[in-house]
Amino acid sequence: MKYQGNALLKEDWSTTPVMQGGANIRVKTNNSRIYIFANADFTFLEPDFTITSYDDSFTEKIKQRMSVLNLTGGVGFRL
Amino acid sequence: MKKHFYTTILIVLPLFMWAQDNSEKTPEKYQYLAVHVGAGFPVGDFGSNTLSNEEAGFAKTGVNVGVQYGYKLGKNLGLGAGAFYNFFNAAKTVSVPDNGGSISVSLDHWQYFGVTVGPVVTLDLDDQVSLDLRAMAGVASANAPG
Repeated sequence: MKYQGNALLKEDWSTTPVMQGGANIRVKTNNSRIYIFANADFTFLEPDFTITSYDDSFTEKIKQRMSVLNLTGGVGFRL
Repeated sequence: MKKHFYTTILIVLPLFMWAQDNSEKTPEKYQYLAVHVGAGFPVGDFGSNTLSNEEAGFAKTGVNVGVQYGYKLGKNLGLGAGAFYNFFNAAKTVSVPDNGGSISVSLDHWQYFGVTVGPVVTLDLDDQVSLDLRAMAGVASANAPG
């Protein structure tokens, strides 16, 4: 995080449980092993972060709720 | 005329049978692997830009890439696993009111990656099209903006 253009807080990484629910449509191409995919997924995670200032004078624990709808497409193969 | 008809049948029938033999029949049990890419839309607090919301994440629409594995165990049931990565830029600058003026606070980005596993229900809509419904759980590593 930057405050008035100056770096203020350090980044942080956190490991957390994640839940996903979704659906995809698979279309087989020309009777082959190749599929075209269209996906819609909802992802939810709520990591705990420890936010620390660059001069280490400030530390705070925060929890960020992250809810995301992913709309994707792709290609797949039957193994 | 009849001779021509039988000759035509003798030529065409084997070709038709050969074509049938060479079309891929999908077995009831099989595995698949897919790669996908697309957009990630933050919803709720994560995508909120409201300063009065203490849970606001200021995340903008981002990108999602992933790999998906499926193991179809029977007509409708299977197991699935996935690996994914999401990246979101944050709202570049937020002006915070301060004694009649405003100060500028900016975040760079959010990102996370993870793996999930879970059951998959497959509905074959026709010979070519299938619908997979997934309920997955797993673990992720998330990055708060610096």
